[in-house]
Amino acid sequence: MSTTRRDQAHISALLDEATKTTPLLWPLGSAVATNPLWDLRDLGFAPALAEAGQVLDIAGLPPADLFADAFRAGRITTADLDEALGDQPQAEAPGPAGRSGRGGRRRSGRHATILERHDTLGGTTEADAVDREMAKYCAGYLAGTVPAETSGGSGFLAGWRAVVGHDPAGRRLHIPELARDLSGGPEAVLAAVLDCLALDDEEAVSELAAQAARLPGWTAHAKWRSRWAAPDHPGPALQLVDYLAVRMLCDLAALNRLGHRPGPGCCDLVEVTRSRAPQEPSPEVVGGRVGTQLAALQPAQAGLAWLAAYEGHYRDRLLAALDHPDAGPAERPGDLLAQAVFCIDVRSEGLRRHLESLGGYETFGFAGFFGIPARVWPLAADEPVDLLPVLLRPTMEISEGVTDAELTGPTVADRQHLAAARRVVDATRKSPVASYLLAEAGGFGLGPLALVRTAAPRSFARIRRRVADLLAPPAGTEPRLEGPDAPDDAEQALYAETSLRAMGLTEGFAPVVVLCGHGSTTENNPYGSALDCGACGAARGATSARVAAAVYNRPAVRALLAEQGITIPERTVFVAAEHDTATDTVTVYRPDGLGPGALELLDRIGADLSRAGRSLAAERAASLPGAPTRSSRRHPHDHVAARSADWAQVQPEWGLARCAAFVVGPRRMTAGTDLERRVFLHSYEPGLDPDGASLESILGGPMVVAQWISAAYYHSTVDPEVLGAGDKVAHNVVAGVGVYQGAGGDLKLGLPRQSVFGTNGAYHEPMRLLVIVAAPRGRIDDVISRSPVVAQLVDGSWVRLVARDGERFWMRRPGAGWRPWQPTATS
Amino acid sequence: MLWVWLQRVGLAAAVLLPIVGAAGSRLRLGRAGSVAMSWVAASCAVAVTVLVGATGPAVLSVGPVRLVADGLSALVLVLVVGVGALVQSFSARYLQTDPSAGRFSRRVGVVVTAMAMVAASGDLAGLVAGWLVAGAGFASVLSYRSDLPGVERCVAAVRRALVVGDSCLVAAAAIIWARVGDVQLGSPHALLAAARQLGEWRPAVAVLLALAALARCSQGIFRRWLPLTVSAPTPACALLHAGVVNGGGVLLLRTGALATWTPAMVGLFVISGATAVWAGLVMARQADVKGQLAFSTMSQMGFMLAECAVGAYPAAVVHLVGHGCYKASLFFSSGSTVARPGRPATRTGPTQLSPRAAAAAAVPGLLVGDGTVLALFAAVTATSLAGAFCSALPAGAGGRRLRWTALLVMTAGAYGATVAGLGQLVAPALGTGAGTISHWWLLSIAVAALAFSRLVSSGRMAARAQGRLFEAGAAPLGWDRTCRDRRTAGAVTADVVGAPELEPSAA
Repeated sequence: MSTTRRDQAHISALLDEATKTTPLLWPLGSAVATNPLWDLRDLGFAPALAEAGQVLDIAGLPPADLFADAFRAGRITTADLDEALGDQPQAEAPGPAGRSGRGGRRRSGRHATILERHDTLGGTTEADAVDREMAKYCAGYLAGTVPAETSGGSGFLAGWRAVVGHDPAGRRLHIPELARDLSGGPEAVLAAVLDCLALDDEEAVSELAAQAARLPGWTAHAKWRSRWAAPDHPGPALQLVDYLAVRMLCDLAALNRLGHRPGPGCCDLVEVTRSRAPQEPSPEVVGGRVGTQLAALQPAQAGLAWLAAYEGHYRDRLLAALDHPDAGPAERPGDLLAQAVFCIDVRSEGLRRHLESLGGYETFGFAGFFGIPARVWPLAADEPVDLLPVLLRPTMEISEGVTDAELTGPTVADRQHLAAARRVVDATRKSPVASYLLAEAGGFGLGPLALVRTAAPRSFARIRRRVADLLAPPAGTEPRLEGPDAPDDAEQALYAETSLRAMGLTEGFAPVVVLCGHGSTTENNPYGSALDCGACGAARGATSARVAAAVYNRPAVRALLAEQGITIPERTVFVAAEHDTATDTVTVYRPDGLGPGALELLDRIGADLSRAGRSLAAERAASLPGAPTRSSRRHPHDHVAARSADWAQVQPEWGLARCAAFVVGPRRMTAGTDLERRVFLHSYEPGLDPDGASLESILGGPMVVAQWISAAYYHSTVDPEVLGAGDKVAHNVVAGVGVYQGAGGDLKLGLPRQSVFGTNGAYHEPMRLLVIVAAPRGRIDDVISRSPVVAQLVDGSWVRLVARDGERFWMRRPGAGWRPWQPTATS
Repeated sequence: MLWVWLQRVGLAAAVLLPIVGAAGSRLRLGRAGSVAMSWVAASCAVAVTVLVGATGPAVLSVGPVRLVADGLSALVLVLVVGVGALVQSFSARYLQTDPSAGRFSRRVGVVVTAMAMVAASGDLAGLVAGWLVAGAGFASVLSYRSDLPGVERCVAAVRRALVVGDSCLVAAAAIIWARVGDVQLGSPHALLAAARQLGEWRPAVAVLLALAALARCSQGIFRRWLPLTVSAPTPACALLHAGVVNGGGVLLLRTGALATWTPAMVGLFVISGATAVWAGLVMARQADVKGQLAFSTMSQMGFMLAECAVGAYPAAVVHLVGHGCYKASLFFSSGSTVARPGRPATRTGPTQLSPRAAAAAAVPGLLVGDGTVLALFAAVTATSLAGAFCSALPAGAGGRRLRWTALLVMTAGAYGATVAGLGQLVAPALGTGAGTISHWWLLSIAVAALAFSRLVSSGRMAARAQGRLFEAGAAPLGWDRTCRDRRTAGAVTADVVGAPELEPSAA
């Protein structure tokens, strides 16, 4: 064996390059929606799809059927296609941030690992055998069967070494001998294996990328753990470098068995491409000149043109609806009951619309963590929750306390007892003797409960809540913002000020300001967190709203805000609330010590929110599969509540499906228009932000979050086999972090089929995010030039940007500047 | 007289309504009607059980079909038909966007009625027919979504195992018919008489029946197929684990004396006991929730067959029914196993014993009247629960432990009362257990389970045993391959798949 020449840093660099095509997978407890191609963003949309298509075996663009159906339904018109074709050469040209850094790289031989080529040549299935071993060990490692700490070190590689020598399958594959020969840490092992295979850097990157793509789900989990998770995240850490080191060792063992001879030319053994179906041709539903033009294009180019037309049609419809003269900054009427700040989530749009229609409300849109980047320690918990977008790191630690301090001891003890009791059954289930009669005794309890749960889900939920309340009586809690462990006043005031300025709420405060987060109550749903607030790190939004409201209500913070020119009147009270998006009910958290007048006002606001919620439930129920028809006497409000409590329900709500656009601007631009719960709404007052600082943070933060969500839904719809999480009916939760589709194999990526597909095909409309910004074009250009991420997304055509400037809409074409938007005949 | 007629009508309804409802879903009835019918059937089964308890058994003969409502058949009917109703009701929502859900529902109806026949048929012919239809029907329930990964292979594995088991049962039935004629089930005396008439064929019949039971319960050499079935949709798994896989136990309980030839019982005990211990150890190392449930079922079925082998018949019936409810519920709620961050703190540590736990443990021991051995099991279970609770509490967690102790004692009392009550209900329908082995053998399962879990956690053999258990729990290579793939993959796959794995007796 030759001496190892690559050092640790070198291996890390190779890994970074090789795993660019690897998607990201957050654990199910906080299932954050991600753009699977995020690390390819510098390439631009179309080249990134091509690159990922080679490695991950994905189509990347919606299937031809979808476009053909859309054309027949009038969802795409010939005019849309014509416009898309006219735009295309410029639109898809690489932007300034495009390929520059990666030009000239040889792409051949990128698709398959060396072992796969041997398999193809010899008709063997060694690569599948390695996949099985990897999946087995990854799952075992996360479940604690494969030790994370061994006498030979810690981590996945060390744990694997400790077990594989005793594993019949490992011995059968002759892996243990090799694992003994190649000792050292994961980097050293990787370097040694690459040496054994005599791969140069370029070949090594190709090989590693192909290796990473064999089980994209497990690699994506490892990538999350290595690159995105907090270093102190609980549980065994499956690092990317360990994962690939073990993988390469297994492959090398198989190659040795097959008599592989390393050396020049080995990679050109045979050219293997994955089994991807050839790119579908453009559907032949269009006639005339446009049809001829489409037919002349490469399939990928035609697909992009169809996609652009699909997006263009929606854009034209939306812009036409929003194209009305600006009324100027709204007068703040004195009789305003309340101002309400909602999360930018598309589902908030419905509640805002219905609430505003009742009169007396002004609403705002802002990321649901309300600008407080907090790590919160819930009462009695031993692990914190990071309640902020995953693109940020928490800078404030806040703990939750019992309002009545005397109750702290008993309340904590009760909660710990309840948690211990929940654990007990799980522990006893696995104990050697007690499991037998536990199953029997448990059955006599669980059987009748299963009947109630199936026949009357809401009654069961009520009973369960009563019992839990009996065993651990509920106590009022509040975030601790004063005291030695709390963040200091100046820090709290700084975040408070930034948020108020960004949402454009610096004066004219109403007597009540509601900060309304959102969460989703669903039952028996592994993907429940995907329906919660993305801006709170896929957690429920109530805690963030309560922290923010408490910060704004503190006299110390208000005094500091006043010094900065934001005077909140003494009578104004901030109130936290949470919109349950599954039931469309709103919980209002009343602060202590309010006067009778304020309480009366809160009663009225609560009643209005509940009315708005009922109207929204009725609107939403119309699109839910299996919902009662119009003739049914049951109120839709009851139906959505039953859905939310039902353990047999795989589609409790549609979540963010059909999300399509992100509007940055004052609410008066969109108020009164039914945006069909498809639009992220972020408040922005162009007049208050001359230097574009707020706009920069909006486009660099919330817009990226919205793009991730939109991309997650897009790819789960377009490539459900690879980038979607499969069918919920056969999901099998693995070690609490992911799901298998069936008995084993790879972790599934993305969103389940039931989140994006209805009975008849796709429910989500796969489009790139349309971003509409109410700001002068020059300011937007400035922000783009200042912020590399925004530039990559805009210039790389990951999002479609439109400006509202001077009473007109302007479309920004990558590399070709702004062009005024014309209302078309179709809209 | 009125009660007897009501009982007969209820019995017929419980057996027939599932299949009628399933067939009707295609005609006028619709999905909701079909679900409602399955609930009516379940209510009838409950009513029949109550009437059996109040007035005694009843028999319904219509032409060649003979149905018996006694304690055993009524209780198993409640389980099978009840689980059928649950599955139908659950899947009406769970599969709401699945265009082939109607097909699923019809096949479930067939399986439920077939299993109801196995439970309640008054003669051997009806039982065998129900058994065969239930097996074939279950394979077709699994295959209704053959597009899902792994389903094709698991259906093939199920069919292979069932063919072996079904052949054994048919052979046993043929011998019995040839020697004795059609035997009336539901009467321990008739069975005992038939067993005597069998003469020198008795060993063969007993071995064949035991093999049929082992195959249906996925024990011993048949252990491979059950873990593969988790690839099928959740309601199909619930039906299998609650209503079909325990058919082996129902068979042995209902054929009673025909199956109790001592050497066969010893073999049955060894195989099922070893599988129970081995599957329990594998289960504790599974990472995926449905894999855990599948190996747990295997372990529990082993325990139930061991109870049959030692003649602890009432305990076996109670275990069969309790476990069925337990497993159906756990499969349905298998999506609830994701922990969200920020939960209250718990500790993982070795189980601690406390005086209070030991006191609580004595309660079920006193209440389970069935025999000292099971009382011991009950005591160990209660002790484990209490010990695990104490060790899960964070250090220094004070406060109101009394209410939890009270809860445990109450639960244990309720359990003891349930077991005693059900035992009284079923006992008249069960044989004397002549020919079975001593109850005390059950203790060897407990001893073996403790010894092996000790061996696996420390000592010289630990690493080796851990590795074997770990490998045994993983889905085999090619589990998700379709038949077409297998043909193209060639000989190497077959070689690796067929390589030796851990035998249960070696654990």
